[in-house]
Amino acid sequence: MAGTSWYHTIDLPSGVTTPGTVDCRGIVGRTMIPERLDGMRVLDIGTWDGFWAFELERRGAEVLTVDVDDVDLLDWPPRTRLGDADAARRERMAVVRLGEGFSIAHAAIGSSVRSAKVSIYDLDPHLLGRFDLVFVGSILVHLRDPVRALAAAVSLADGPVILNESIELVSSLLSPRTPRARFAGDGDLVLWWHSNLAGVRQIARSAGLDVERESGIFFIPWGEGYEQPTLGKLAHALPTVQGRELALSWGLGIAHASLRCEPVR
Amino acid sequence: MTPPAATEREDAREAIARIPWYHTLELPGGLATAGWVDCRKVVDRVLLPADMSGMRALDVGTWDGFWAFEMERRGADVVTVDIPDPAQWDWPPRMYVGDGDTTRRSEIASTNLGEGYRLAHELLGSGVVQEQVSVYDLDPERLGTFDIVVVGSILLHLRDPVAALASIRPLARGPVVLNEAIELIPSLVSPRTARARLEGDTAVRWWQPNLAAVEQMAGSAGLVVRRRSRPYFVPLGAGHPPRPSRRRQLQSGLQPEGREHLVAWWIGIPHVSLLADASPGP
Repeated sequence: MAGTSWYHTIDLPSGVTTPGTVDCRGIVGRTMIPERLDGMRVLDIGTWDGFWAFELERRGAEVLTVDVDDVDLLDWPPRTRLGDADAARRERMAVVRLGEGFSIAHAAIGSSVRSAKVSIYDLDPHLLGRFDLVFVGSILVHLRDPVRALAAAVSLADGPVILNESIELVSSLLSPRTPRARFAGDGDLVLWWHSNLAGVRQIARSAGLDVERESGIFFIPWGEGYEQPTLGKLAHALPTVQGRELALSWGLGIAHASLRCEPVR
Repeated sequence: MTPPAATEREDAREAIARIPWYHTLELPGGLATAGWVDCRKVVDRVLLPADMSGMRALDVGTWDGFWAFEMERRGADVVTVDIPDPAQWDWPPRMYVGDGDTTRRSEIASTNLGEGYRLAHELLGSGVVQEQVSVYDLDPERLGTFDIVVVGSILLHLRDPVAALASIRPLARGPVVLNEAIELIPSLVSPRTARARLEGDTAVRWWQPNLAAVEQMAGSAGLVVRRRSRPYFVPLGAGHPPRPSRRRQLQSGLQPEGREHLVAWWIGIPHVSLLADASPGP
């Protein structure tokens, strides 16, 4: 377990807590997930180490998670698939083993969560069936075409779709009603449209959802596995909008909002 | 008896009047189409070579063909691609269910894209060749490669603009010229930060980018921007509905989207022209 790079902070039965990049444990009450999910068939999309899948299971649901099992299947900017950039990206990613943390945590917890290796874009009710609740956690920002992805997820929903999405804080406060996103897409990361709260709402609408309830903005703290920012990093971050958002997250946590939506009939 | 030439001109005039035009085109016999926009005044603002003799050029998303015919006039051998079937456009998923579905079907039924292009093509005696293929599915095996690729005001209509630009890239053996609509105020307020306003609910309109976002989308798709024009404004044409009442205009001024409408009504639709190379960067 020591050799695994954890994204989620998960309390394992042995008393060990995984050193995740983020720590969602304190904000589970802020999301729009119902208190009890007994007897419900629930889909968790983009599960990574499985924090939300295990939380949904704990609330009584029968959970299926979907995720990709190969980093090359992530939405890399086309630029990073060309020439030297492609080679550099592959070398950088060679150490990443998707699904390893999930397997370890799954075994340690004795979980019955099932998982399927499917991209969100390829979700198909004929292959996976339909679900009483669909949970989408912090993945829209990592998708080049978030509306198509979410529309695919909606096609599996017989009940509510819960979005727990990262939002741009300053833009959410300055433009509360105008859907806006900062376009990343050009870096070496799989980051695309960083939307404000109205932007996430609009992505949901566009994908065929009606937003019924919202949590308001909450902050997910960085975890023990996150490299602490230094003064140098702070000085480097402050001149750009992207950097200032990052700097705010060091103080406050990563700005998120949770939306409970229903598919348009 | 009316001379044959005069009859022909009268027939042409009637045929032109029946079509809702997007582009303002000057056609033989002193006839002009009443377009939604009028690009004639900005032909010198875009980064196209003045002389295109001997060049094989691709015009992506041609609509009535203004830029295709302009490049042909400059000497290029031009191929255009477009999707005349509006059912294949990037309609928001929401428009496939409930009331949206009804609206979408009726809009599709009332759109007859390609009619204007065909008439103008015939009247101009043009040699431009059209291929009917989506920008997402461009294939060098089918279309070959081009000395210049021109993309005009389409990114704002695409749900996945980066995929479209990445699809264009392999067809270019020379520069890619992007003449794209931008939002003016976000371009001025955030000159270095790529931002877009998302529509995507009722119309085939998606991410409305600022200038930095168009540039960054090009970079993301593997294009290297070499030159960029100053922002320019494409005036609305004679076929565009007149400016609304002063009261409506004042109301528009209260919303970000409405303020962009004010710019279009009074000055024109803000655009930028980028000249990019398809080669991978160093």
